[in-house]
Amino acid sequence: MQSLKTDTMPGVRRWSPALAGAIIAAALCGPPGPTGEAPDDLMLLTLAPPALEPVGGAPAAGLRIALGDARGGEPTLLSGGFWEARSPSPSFDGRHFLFQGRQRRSDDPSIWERRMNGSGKRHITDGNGHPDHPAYLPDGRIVYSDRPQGDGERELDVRALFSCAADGSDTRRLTFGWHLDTRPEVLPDGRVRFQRRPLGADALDEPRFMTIRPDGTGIAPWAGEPCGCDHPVPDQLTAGELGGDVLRADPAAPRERPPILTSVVQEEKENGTLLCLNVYESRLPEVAMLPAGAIRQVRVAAVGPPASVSGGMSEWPAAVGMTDGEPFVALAPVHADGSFMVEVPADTPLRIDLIDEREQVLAALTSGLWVRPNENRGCIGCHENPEIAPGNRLPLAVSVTSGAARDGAVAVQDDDAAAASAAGGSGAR
Amino acid sequence: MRDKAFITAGASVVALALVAAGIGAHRWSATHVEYYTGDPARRASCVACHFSARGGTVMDRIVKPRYVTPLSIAVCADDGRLFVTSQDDDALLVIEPAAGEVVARIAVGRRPHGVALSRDCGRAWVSNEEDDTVSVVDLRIAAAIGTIPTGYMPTGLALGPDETRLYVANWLGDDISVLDLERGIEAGRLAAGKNPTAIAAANGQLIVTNQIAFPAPRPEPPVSELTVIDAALGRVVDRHRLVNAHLLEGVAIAPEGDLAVVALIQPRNLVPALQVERGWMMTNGIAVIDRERHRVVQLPLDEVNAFYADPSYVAITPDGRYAFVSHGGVDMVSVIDMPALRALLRDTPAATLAGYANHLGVSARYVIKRIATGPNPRGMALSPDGTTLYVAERLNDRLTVIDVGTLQSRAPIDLGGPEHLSILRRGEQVFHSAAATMQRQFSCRSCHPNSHVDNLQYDFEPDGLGLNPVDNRSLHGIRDTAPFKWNGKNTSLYMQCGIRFARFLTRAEPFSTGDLNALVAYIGSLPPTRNRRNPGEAGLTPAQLRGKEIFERSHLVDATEIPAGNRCITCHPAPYFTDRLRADVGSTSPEDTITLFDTPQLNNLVDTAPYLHDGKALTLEEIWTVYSPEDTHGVTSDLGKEGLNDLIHYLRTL
Repeated sequence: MQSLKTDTMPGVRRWSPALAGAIIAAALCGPPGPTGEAPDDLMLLTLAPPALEPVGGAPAAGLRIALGDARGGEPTLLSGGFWEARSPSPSFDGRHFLFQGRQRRSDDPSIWERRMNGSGKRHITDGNGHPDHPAYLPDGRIVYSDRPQGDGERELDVRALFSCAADGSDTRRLTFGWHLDTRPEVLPDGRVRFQRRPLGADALDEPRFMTIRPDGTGIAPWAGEPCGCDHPVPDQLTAGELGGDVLRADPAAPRERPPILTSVVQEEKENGTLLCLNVYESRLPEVAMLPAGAIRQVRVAAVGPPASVSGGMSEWPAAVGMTDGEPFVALAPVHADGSFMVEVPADTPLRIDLIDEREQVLAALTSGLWVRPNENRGCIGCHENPEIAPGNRLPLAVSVTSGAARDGAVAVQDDDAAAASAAGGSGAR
Repeated sequence: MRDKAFITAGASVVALALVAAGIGAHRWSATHVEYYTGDPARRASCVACHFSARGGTVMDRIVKPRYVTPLSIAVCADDGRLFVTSQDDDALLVIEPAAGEVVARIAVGRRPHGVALSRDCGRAWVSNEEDDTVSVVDLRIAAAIGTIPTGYMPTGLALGPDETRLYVANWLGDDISVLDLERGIEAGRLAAGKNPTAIAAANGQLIVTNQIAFPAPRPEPPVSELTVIDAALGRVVDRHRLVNAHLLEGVAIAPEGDLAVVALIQPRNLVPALQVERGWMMTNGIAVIDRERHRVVQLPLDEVNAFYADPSYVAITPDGRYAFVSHGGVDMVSVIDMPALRALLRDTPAATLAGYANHLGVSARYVIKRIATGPNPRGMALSPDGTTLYVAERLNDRLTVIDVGTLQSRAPIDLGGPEHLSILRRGEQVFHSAAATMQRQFSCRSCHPNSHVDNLQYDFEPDGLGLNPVDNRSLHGIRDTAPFKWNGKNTSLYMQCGIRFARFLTRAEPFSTGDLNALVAYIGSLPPTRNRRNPGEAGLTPAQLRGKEIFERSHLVDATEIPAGNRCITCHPAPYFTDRLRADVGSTSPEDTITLFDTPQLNNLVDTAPYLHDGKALTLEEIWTVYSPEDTHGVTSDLGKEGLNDLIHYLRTL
């Protein structure tokens, strides 16, 4: 972790060797108590704006960040020098925190880092103009949500997850699709859990929780215990003399660094592979009730932008999505055991249509998934129970000796297939 | 003056030479390490590759002090004393739990495994893995008073109801010795499944777990056996076949006698290994023998986001309320609420229950707690009143003590092992820990039980899904058999266990440099297993001697010379019976994208079925009768059936 700039600390006008030494020592060792790593009871508080200006009613400041003690006591303001600061996230060692901040009201929000005692500040990234919800990744990179800049994405105010290096460089996009992907948090097993809402949804709408690995692979719905993302604010925690309500309290204490998960992503590659073990394994009645053998092939399409968004509902045109301006369709046979394997373009949100022997669409599924370059993505079923593990059998889709048509399990891009998809494509998802 | 100048010049030359030599040595060693490890950072320490604790030298003793390594525990019903087998100290420890200390150390055979007690606690029997014996211990004089020969590598044991017979699971022999304790002899032997491990006895029946699955051709699922013996008849009366299950280890029978709980692993070896999450590689669970309903039900102990690797021993409280399962890979004990388990079995339709083996959400219905222990918890025993559970921390030389009433740990019992953690001991801990695996799903040991093989084949991701499936290989004595992997690409164990191992197998953070050094040192220290079927050169039978001649021959039966490259001995020279080169022996399968495979070592070949790189040959015979009809894998077609049998008789002695 590089040391923080201190040239804008209040009251400090110029450098001196002694001051520099003290700063270096503080950066290396960290000051004790509330100015060093945070003890277990310390919480990062997000405070509502203070009282409104008496004239005109305009707020004097936006949200603020403070360090409070769950055992009681006066909180310490950590966001001094910022007109607004929100979304605080502590480092694993409890010595620093990331946040979204605006120094002046007119500034665009950026991601910043500060020491847990409120000193120093380091600008991380401006992102694409609205970075938010930063969190440290175990390898020192930073994950955050932002507006992607793809065709149609800005107009529809899509939010996706990104990561960048600790100095804000080397930005990588991690999630893809027409959603609002926000609030990433790093799980103890090293994965990133985030909240997904449909386009146009209100922030109060109940989100779905998804997980990815820090390289954007392995997109999956979160399963297991309900998410405890919003920590209840203990009664003892008040804004005190800082004024305003405590909107949110997040633990500031050090915690064990999760493992740094290895990656198979090779950015120079263009495709990945999707392997589904059994397409009939599904919680969707329209799929689970299909007789074995009914699904003869799957058609995988890139999901383009919705034609309209209203009240959290998106309407898609009844046509296949586009990839780089070209229609994209991948067709793959579904084998007797329900398995299929298909090569698909990377970093592209995918839709999967289940096709019968008459080439009619039995079900059209918004998969909400993608593959990263060189990723081999495994699925147990289609919208299956997220708590099940795969059965132990060799999927015919990868079996050479069982006569599986491996040659058929590749992406194709031709007008006929695109037309077939367009004819069979359904509307609202 | 001249002398001084001469000395100065000479010293300068020597100094320069030393500097040059130092630079050269450093460059050479850097290149050497990088070549063998594939690690440009060259983090390997010399000890990782160049140390071995095999020899029992002074240095070996420093590197590997004599640890206790407690494994199995038995409790005296009268006074609560504990009897613990000490694997590395070749002893049976007697522990006074109230005092929390070892009160006696009784020398037994080499590498003791299981322990059984007579009801009056006057006698104990200890199985000795390395000696193929059971030690008979008189506890009144705290001494071993004799041994009884068993089959190969005895492990678990249990007394018959009248205490006249002792049943012993022979791990390497795939059978069960029936010992006549009055006469002190082996009275008979029963066929078991593959690698029998533990035995539980109750109500006149014995349940034997068999750790490893039977060899099966891909894509057939692995099948393991639970062997049931009628103690009165001395006969096998049932063989439960557990599909998609292996590493069956501990077993305990509920006091009601209606249920038995078996620890096991459910592998996913047939699914391409492209992720770990969601139990994609394996899940850890139990089998419940439901005797009333005549069925065996497999259930998970894992959760959807957390795995509990290497379930090992099982203990059930005398009141039948709790079952405990130790997890050697995650240093925990799972607590199963038995009434909840019974309710699940009673109320769930059979078809639904069958699907629960793969349902990671159901364990929350019967697993009520996980209790942390020290490294590698294995054997367990309950105090006679059922209020205290003792757990052997195998790689920590302590016993965890758990209050059954509160399900909280109390002060552990120290067994007096060395405090120093040697590099080999650390490597052994790393080998048995799942900490470096995504969500702690499995450890090295999960696929290499006893550092050996699990008899399964795996399809790893980087060379294509469904392509190049490979058979597991034993780690015994592999230090000098580089390169590794069936494609022979890994020049060292360091490379084998390095970054690609994390990227494509464990899918988490690579081992730290220290842990990797320790792991490589430990694996390198594993000695070859002693082949019990090798009688020594002088003891070979006539058939084995004829087989040896065939193995070493250079001419066919009709005196035609065999090309050097197609003679057995060319590619399989002693002592490891490998030339450490790759060869095309015509064994390629349609799934393979390569034709050259690493020539495997043949030591203990008899214990490593199935054979060939993808495990398609279930027996040694099939290597030639099915997969080398054109004599591409040595020449055997001139031998006839008897000649081939002779060759195989000899190979089984290697």
